Amino acid sequence: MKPVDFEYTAPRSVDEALALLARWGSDATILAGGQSLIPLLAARTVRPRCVIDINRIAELDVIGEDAGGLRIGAAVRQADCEASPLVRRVCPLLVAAIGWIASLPVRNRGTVVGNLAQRNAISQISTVAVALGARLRIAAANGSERTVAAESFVDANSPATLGPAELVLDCWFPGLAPGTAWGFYEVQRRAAHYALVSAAVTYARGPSGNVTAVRVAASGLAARPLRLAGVEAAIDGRAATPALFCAAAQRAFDDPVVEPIDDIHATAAYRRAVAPTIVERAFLAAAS
Amino acid sequence: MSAMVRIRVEVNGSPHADTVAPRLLLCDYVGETLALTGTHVACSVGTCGACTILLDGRPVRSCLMLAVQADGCAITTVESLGTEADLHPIQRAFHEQQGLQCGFCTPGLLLSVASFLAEHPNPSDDEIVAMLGGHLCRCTGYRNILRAVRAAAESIAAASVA
Repeated sequence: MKPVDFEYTAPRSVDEALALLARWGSDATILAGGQSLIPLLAARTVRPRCVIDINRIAELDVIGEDAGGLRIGAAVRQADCEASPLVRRVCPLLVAAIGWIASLPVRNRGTVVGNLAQRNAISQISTVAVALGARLRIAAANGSERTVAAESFVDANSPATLGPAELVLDCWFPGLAPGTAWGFYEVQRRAAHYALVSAAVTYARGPSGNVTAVRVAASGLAARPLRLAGVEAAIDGRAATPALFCAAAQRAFDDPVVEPIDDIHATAAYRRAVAPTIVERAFLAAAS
Repeated sequence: MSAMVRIRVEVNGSPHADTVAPRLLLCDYVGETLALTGTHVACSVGTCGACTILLDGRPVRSCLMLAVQADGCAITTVESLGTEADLHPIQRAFHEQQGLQCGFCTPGLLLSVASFLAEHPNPSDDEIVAMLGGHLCRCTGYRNILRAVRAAAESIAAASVA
């Protein structure tokens, strides 16, 4: 398979990349990790006139601690996040989720921000971003900058959230306070394949040992990962026990937006049947 | 036609310079331009692992990169490992443990295993199985590959002690 003929540019700075976007507009496509884009190019589903490769922009290949969280640049690879002592300390939930993505050779190239930019409904990184309340910083060719909540950015049903002359600079993930319990779990048809349903959980333990500040998001139940408010309400303030997690996970369908994905990988009925178990196991992983 | 791009790479230890079309995939650069035909291409979407090579020592899917992206990098392919007369310890282990049948997936596997054993000289079965998740083999059922990786780890460890 061969992509269509295109111009190739590898800018060295964000300003240079934005100038190229201004010039080429919707005729350009941004190449980050390429693990989703290259097959689309090879199949000619995507036919750009110019590919702007952001892998050589050093200022985007930075993981920084910022405002109690992590700012992960658009050129940072998933495997580098997994191996980063800073990410492991500040946001171990993200490290656990990345470990479920495809295989190491794919994670060696794939980027965290590029994964979010795909707006794939079953993305593990999106699930964590929704659970924690991550935010993306987006620059435009006209010099303006805006910040968007990951929860609205990753919605596959929403109109394009990224303009043709815009570039995602980074994603900020809130850090987990010391002592925060966290867990990630998912089911796949086989190892290194797509998630059918995944769940990301964090909670704190109050002075009495009861669970507080519960956050749980799951993928596979809608066109984007959803916060499961019903599950959170059923657990908040109570003592963390396996029986509570099991009972609360049944509330995964409280949200009227829930309409499990039905595709070649799994039926909606299967996802509906398996979702409470996946949510329960994410809580059990958090408790252990 | 778009402008051709000059790239400089190190291929199995030797410097190379080539002029390539931007749309040339890295797997096609390796197989056609460099004529290193040991790197196989099957799924072309990064799932099967057959085309895995090492880029600056790390396993990557050569079907999921453009050749121009490898500019300045070191490429390692299966041809760097051993020869028929003098197999690499990982190749010898695959041969002795029957870790292959048709052999199509083997070049990618060998490079993933080489990188994996460099970082996990004494791997657990769980670690080996997790690594093998990135490679599809339709012949062996993986049991012999698992044995081969264990045997390769032992033979490399024994050689480093001797």
